[in-house]
Amino acid sequence: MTSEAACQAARKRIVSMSYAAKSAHLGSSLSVVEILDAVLRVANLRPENASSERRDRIVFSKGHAAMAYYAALEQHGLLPGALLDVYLQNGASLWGHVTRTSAVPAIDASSGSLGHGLSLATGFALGFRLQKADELRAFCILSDGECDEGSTWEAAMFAGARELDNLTAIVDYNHIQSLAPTAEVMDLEPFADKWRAFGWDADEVDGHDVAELTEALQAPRAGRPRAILAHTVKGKGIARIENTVASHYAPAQAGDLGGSCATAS
Amino acid sequence: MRDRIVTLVEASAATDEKVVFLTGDLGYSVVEPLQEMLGERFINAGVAEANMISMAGSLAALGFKPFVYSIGPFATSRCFEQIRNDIVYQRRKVGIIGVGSGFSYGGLGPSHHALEDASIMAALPDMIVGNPGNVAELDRFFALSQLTEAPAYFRIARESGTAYPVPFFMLHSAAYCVREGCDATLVASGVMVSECLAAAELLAAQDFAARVVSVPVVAPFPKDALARTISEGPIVSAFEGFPGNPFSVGVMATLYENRITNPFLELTAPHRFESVVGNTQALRKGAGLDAETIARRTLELAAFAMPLRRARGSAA
Repeated sequence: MTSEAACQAARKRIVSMSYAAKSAHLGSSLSVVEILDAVLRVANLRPENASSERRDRIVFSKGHAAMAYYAALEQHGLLPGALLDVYLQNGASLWGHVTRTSAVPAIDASSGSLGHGLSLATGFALGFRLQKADELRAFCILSDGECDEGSTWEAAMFAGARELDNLTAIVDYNHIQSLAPTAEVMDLEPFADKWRAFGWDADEVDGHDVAELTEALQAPRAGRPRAILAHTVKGKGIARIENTVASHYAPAQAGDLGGSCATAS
Repeated sequence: MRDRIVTLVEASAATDEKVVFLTGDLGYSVVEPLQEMLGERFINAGVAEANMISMAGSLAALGFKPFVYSIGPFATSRCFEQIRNDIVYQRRKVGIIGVGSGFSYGGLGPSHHALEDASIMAALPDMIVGNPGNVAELDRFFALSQLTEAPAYFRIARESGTAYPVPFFMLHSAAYCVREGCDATLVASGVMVSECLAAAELLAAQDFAARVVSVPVVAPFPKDALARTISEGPIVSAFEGFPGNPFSVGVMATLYENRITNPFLELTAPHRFESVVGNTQALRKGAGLDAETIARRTLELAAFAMPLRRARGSAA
């Protein structure tokens, strides 16, 4: 399946999940669709090796955008769609923040509280090094808001100092955090320079361009961990909520279920 | 006991290449042999406990057997949510070593006192919490922790504790008599066992025979085993931690659930951060957790209880 088709299908799934479950975090989910598709294309994680010890690990740290992660895993054959048909219904197995479950071995970490993911991914990268599993990589997908967390920078400093070049962090930089634009809260800028100062390589890309993302994810290792700051649009694909703080909270409406999601790219 | 737990990890690592040791930049003059032996499996994670805990969680996910090491509060309250979400919630087996239980770090001050660590660790589901009172109890608890998939908290005092005899115990049977007596029961955990043994010695000089019971595992709390150890006469529990700790609560639940209605006194550290400087012994004495105070209060409770018991007896 092409990236475009996979992302379009994921967006439709996200909107229908949000509508059916009246689930928040629609905007945060729609911004990260292409990032997830690109990571799942590049990472050595396939339905046939999902239960294997020797494969790449992915930590989806912005756990509130669980709908996007689940939908992307479904598109890549890593999560049975039946689990999403009952999303957030009582008795179902997937919570509203990313949940590790035996039903989905591809999910490597539960998340939900921000600022944990980069440390978890750093632990995987460190473990691969101890195992001398040089071919394996750890990926972490973060929100921009969680870069306010001190623990994110504890991990960044450790990974930089240890030169963990098997670690890649992708920040969904949609520029709007929970209550306000990032520039107004703590201002992450100069963001790329912060990562570089911590011993990382840093790229800035269009986070809705899968080709550009893929190229950045496949850049050769250079003895340093890599941060990819992926500029995105919160609520991408639904014009009425794009770039709004409210898209963090309001679930999808009946009118969103139509074709508006096809506008992404 | 600090040295002992490092020795135990060392022995474990000698036969198991999956053992990794992470320290939050602490352990000077204690961890060096371990560092030498483990090589790259010894990880100084820096003064960054939150990151250390989460990394340990992922190392466990990859099949490693991680131990993390720091001073009590830094190993627990500093990084509590990482322990909660990245170890316990995600079912990762990690050994958390918190050195300096209770007032161990005396004059270093309340920032370094570990008085709520047992409470917050025991508040987490599955977490097993060991509070050994001497080296033999530590050895046995360490061995037990290796037999389960559950994460463990090692609450480690600086002192080595009195060398009282320790029977073979399991998690569910970690409550046993370490000194016989029939006039009262002193129930204690960790360093308080040594204080209670010293208190029993003082009481013996006054012809009062106090039984001493040690409870080296406070979560899961060994209620059934404890219930079987209770003697006639008053019961005094002693724990070097704040009220509401899993030991004191466990003792009270055991008594209540087993309808043991002997007169009871709970001794804990006062629920405050100390404002006056003291070394470990002075702080313990100020908290009423030294042998003399334990002995005195036991006698007071016995004296108070005797007329009550007589009155009840005559009414019946």
